[in-house]
Amino acid sequence: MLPTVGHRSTPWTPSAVSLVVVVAGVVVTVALALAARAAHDENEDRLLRQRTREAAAVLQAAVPGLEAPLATSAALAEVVDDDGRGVEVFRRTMGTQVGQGGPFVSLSVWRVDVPTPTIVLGEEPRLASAGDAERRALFRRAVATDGFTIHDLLGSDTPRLGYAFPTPDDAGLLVYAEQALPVDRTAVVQPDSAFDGLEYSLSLRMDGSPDTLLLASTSDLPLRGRVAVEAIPFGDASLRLAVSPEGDLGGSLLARLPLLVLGVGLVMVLVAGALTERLQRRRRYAEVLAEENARLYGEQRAGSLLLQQSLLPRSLPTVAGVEIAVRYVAGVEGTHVGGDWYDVIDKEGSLVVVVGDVSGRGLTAASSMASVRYTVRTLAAEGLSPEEILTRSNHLDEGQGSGHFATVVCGVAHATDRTVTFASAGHPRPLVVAGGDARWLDVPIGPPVGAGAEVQYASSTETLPPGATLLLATDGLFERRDEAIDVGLERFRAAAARAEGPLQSVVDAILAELTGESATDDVAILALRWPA
Amino acid sequence: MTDGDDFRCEVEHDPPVVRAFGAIDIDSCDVFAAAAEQLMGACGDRPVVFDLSEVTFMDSSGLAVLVKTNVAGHPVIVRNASTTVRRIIDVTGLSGVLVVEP
Repeated sequence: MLPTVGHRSTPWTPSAVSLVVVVAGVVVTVALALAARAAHDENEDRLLRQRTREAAAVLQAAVPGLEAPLATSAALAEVVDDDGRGVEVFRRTMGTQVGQGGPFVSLSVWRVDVPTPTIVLGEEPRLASAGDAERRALFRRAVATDGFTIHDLLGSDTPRLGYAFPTPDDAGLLVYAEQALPVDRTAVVQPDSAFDGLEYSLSLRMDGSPDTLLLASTSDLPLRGRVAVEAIPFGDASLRLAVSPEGDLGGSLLARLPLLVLGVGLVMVLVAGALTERLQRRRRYAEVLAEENARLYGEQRAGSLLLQQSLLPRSLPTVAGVEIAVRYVAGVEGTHVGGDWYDVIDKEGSLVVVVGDVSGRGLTAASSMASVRYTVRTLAAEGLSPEEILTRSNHLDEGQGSGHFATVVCGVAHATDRTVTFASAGHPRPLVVAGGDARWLDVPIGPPVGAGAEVQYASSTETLPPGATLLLATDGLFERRDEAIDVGLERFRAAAARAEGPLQSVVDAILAELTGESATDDVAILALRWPA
Repeated sequence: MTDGDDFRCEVEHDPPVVRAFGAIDIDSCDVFAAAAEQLMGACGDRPVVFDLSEVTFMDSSGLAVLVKTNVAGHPVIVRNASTTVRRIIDVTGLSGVLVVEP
């Protein structure tokens, strides 16, 4: 069953890592978007300046179209006599410049010091109705100017511009022309012209004040947003050309790039944040699972150990003349309880000692161990000899079908005369330690109990020297992976020969030397010692 | 440490032979046991040969598989076992139960 995780995590609180990812992502995205916008702005400015220069050049190119007829008129005016000869020539030549098809509504010739024109083509010039001072001021300026001089007639319902042009040889003559401007001062922008895609305004003065406006593409003035201004030399004045783009000069895609960057970036940041959060949640879930598993493992292992401990003798009998020590260590490997056991039974002054090891691990091994252990114990209590105990146990186990078999070493030790009788069912022989040396007791070894062999076990009897120590152990003490069994047995024998001191210390020292800090397999050791 | 992944078995059905490769210990004995069980279910009560020529090491968990096969009614023949493997069979008294051939 899966552990419940929900109550441990906080589902609605994003992890710090996810927040960092999102915040960093947003910062980077906004920075990129700002950079894109700056690049776009710079590009638009550059394009607008370029377009404005082009438009100014187009307007500049139109100036000679005004100046040329004025210069021609001035040259012709000089040849007109006082008696009026040549006037016809002038009218014929310059007539095309006035009215329909010409740039001017009025063209006239003046003497500098006379308040009325000598020749008038087209409409009556407004200069004729202007004051003396205004006329004289204009003429003074015109005479001093190379090229034409502007006369501002914009403050009227029908706005005009006047152009004064002196004759070349300083004969006191001037040509004066007036040009009509559209009443609403708006101009239609022709497609594919220099002004295509632009809004513009053209003013007579560089201060760009509304009352000096000549022409504009829109009535919505002044121009707003991105505006570029260019000065165009025009007679004795400068025209002010102000230009702003109708849309984006660099194309709509480039214009949308910052927003695209922002949008796509934010979506990616959200996706990255969500993915990070998901990974974090999974990790947290895995951690909780691991915790739960560790807890369950611990519980299971504790239960297994409890079971195994309960199958071992709670106390050892006390027999005068023989010291007994035991040690049982549960291996660290896995939660499965092993099948090692030991037993000591007091039988009228003798001790029946048993050490066994059921193959395999787990609960079935433990229950199988319990079965064999109690069989052996019961048979021992009946007073049977070791070889009979094993033979009967093997026989009884036949057909149990547990799938486990047991190696058992079983013996009877007399406290007083130090004789021992041992039989083994596939179990390592007991070790005798005496006089600083250790040797294997010569015990015949039969097959393990429950291995499927119907056999009669045999035993051997020996009298041990005073002070002898007898050691019985399970293979967890000396068996190592990838090592021949004899190497481990010899390691056990050598350690036993070296160990000295009280019996329990001897057992503990051997255990420490052979298994180190932690035994991987279960280990059971049983020791008997006779007084010296 | 022996990695259980290094161990493998080959099974022949006629005659029934389990051929093992590698070290048989607590990590790899499940593979060894599965191979033996595969044969046991299909060979009636014929003897099962365990060819251990490529087995470098075997502990009691491997012996358990051999004994289990024997207890299940299939005489076990151990063939080509190394000295180390023969020795573990000897010290556990199983040489009287299993047929050990050179």
